[in-house]
Amino acid sequence: MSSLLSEKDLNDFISPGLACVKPAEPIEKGEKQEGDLEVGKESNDMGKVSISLQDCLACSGCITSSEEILLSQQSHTVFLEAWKNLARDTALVVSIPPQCRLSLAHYYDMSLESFDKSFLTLMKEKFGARYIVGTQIGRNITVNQTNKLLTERKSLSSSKKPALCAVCPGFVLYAEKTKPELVPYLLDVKSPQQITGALLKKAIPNIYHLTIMPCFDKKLEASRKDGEGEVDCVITPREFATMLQEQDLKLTDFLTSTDETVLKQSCSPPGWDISVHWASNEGSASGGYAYQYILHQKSLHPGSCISTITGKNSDLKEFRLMDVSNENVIASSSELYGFRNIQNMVRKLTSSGSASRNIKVLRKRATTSSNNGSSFGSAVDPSKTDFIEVMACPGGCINGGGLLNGEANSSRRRALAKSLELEYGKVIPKVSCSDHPRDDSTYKYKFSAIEKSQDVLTVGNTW
Amino acid sequence: MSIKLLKSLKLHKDKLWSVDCSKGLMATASSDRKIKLVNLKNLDFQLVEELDDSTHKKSVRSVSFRPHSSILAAGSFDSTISIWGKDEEASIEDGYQETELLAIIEGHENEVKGVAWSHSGYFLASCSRDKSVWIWEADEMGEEYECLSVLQEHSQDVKHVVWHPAMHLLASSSYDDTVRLWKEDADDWECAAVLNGHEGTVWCSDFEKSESSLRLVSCSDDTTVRVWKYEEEDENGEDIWTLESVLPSVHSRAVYAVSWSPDGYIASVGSDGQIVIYTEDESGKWKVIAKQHEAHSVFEINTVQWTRVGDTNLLITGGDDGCANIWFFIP
Repeated sequence: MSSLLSEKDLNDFISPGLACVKPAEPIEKGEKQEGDLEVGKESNDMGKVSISLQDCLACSGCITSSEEILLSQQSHTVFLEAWKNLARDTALVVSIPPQCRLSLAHYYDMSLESFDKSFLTLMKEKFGARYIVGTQIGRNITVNQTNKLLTERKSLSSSKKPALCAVCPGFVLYAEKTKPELVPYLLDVKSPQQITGALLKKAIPNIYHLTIMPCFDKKLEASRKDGEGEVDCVITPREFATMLQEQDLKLTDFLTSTDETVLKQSCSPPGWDISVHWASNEGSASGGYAYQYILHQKSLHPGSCISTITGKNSDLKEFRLMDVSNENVIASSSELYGFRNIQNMVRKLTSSGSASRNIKVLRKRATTSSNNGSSFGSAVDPSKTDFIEVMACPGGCINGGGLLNGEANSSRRRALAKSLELEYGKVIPKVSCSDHPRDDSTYKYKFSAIEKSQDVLTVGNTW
Repeated sequence: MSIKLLKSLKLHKDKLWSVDCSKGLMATASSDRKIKLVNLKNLDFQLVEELDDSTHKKSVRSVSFRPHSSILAAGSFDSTISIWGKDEEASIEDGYQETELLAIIEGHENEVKGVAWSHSGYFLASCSRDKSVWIWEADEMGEEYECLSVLQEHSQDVKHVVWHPAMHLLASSSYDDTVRLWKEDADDWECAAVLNGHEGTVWCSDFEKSESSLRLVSCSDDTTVRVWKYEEEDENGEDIWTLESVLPSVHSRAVYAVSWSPDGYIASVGSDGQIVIYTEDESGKWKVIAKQHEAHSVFEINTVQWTRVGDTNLLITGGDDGCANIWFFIP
């Protein structure tokens, strides 16, 4: 494995479980004749266990999956192998979201325009890619369908509130595997990665879809049963850089003088507008889903204004749509990133444990809590908003574990993420998600809580 | 110089894992799932209370008193932390007032190995076999907890956490053979330093109780007890700590716990059943000044803590025999 990729880089979220619980099964011997009984010849040969990402998705043993399994099924080497063996009539199509473009441009010390040009030329000339696309068309659909569903849910009192964004596979896996109580809160609209894949596969027959994504959990998302075939391979910018290194390719060698627009046009599938699919939208660098919901609600409520409240740490933010006339809150949403904030959210949404145990409520508590009686105080409380944009990585997708942000320490890493976030706001053109024709198809996940296996055998030292 | 056993209290039916003392009260944690409170103010060392043992489903591994209050945190192998306290405003009419369960904190994936309150009482730290260290913020009543940070840099089981006696600086000891130091940054808690050197699990560490120097003592499966010293902050904002000394080798097996007394003595205990007390001479050289063999007969000793009751320095040890032994040390 390259030095660019090491175990610690896989700290997208939480480390894998200590013990994989997939059992080894004895090899069936084909030549066994019916009726013959041989004493003492019970097969003791255990088959070599091979674990697929789908096994990992169906098991609660680990939260994500081990590096070895991730990389054996979704990696640049897997891509190179598949690419070499692509059937003559199969075309390579590549998609890349804005966070990865910014991270790679920073890594290669290039402007975004130079990076885009070099990347397109490299993928086209060196790998023979037929089409190369941004992910905004997919994201517009995610945003529009999210807004539609949230607006419907708002009118139904029966739906679980708040709805939780399911674009981050790290968080979705965590919920499915360890917090089944959260699954009903998940909004089942698919992520731009999957929708982009579905659109490409629908429009163009016989393609191999490679996507470059900011974190490792995106590989698991692509392996889900409810998204099969939409994405053939996910690699991270780290792996992309490693691949070029291994192939002795220098990205700068592919910087051409061709006009960016002409180049992007030549790489776009028919009907894909380059001013849309290479763009982004207002809101966070993780997709802006929370802000887009508020924008949508604002369009439905003339005479309203948006107020933004920052939380206790930089990974918490709340948007409130206020009625200008009476200051009532019409709609609200929040951005909530990183494991610590997820934990507090989990604790608020699930009344964990306390009910079953004999916790004394001291007299004082009753008096203090009645003081902040109104449901909307000034402090940020995501659990009281309509919709939470939850992302597992601190800093959100612009700080994804697969990006090239191998800084010496976490404060430097955060500083880099902050500067990339500023760039994201500045250099990537923005489109209005609702301006673009809605796709009538629905793109939905099927979530299910994964049953916990019995207390996994404890390995090693338990003191 | 000698150590004298004042009293051996058979408190638990199974291993005694942890003790913590505050305001003349001692709390003990055990594999029998019980937490007991003992009054240290009188020489008869009376058991004053036994906390509800239906709270934890597995061993209670660690206890810690919140400074300036009667609140106690207990970490258990059932992956939860329980918080106990008294309604201090309630009038005490019929004698002793019972300690009640105030909160259960969930979050760790599996066994909680250590809990510790900061000197300020603002923060509670916890560590677990899930390899993580969590920092919680508590409200004044000790009833509401918010997770401020989940620190995941240890590569193995985290055995123990301890706060500096006067600063918001945390040390965690791990099965990955290191001690990590953590401090608060602008927006989150961060690893300030990694202490590499032990050649086996680091079981426990403790800070020096001094205003003039910043040092930490650690003990390990490798049978050594080491003293580390803070030097300076490097250009990346990381703290530089160096190994100052390896204490004289006495223990023949794993050393499970260390405690640094306010007057500068270090006590260590471990698998070999010995209590060893070290002192530092003027040249900074450490020497052994007292040893006690078979301090819990043939049993391993899991924990040690210095405490001061009135003007008496006591040393408390806890072992696999379920006993808390109270020692008087005469320098």
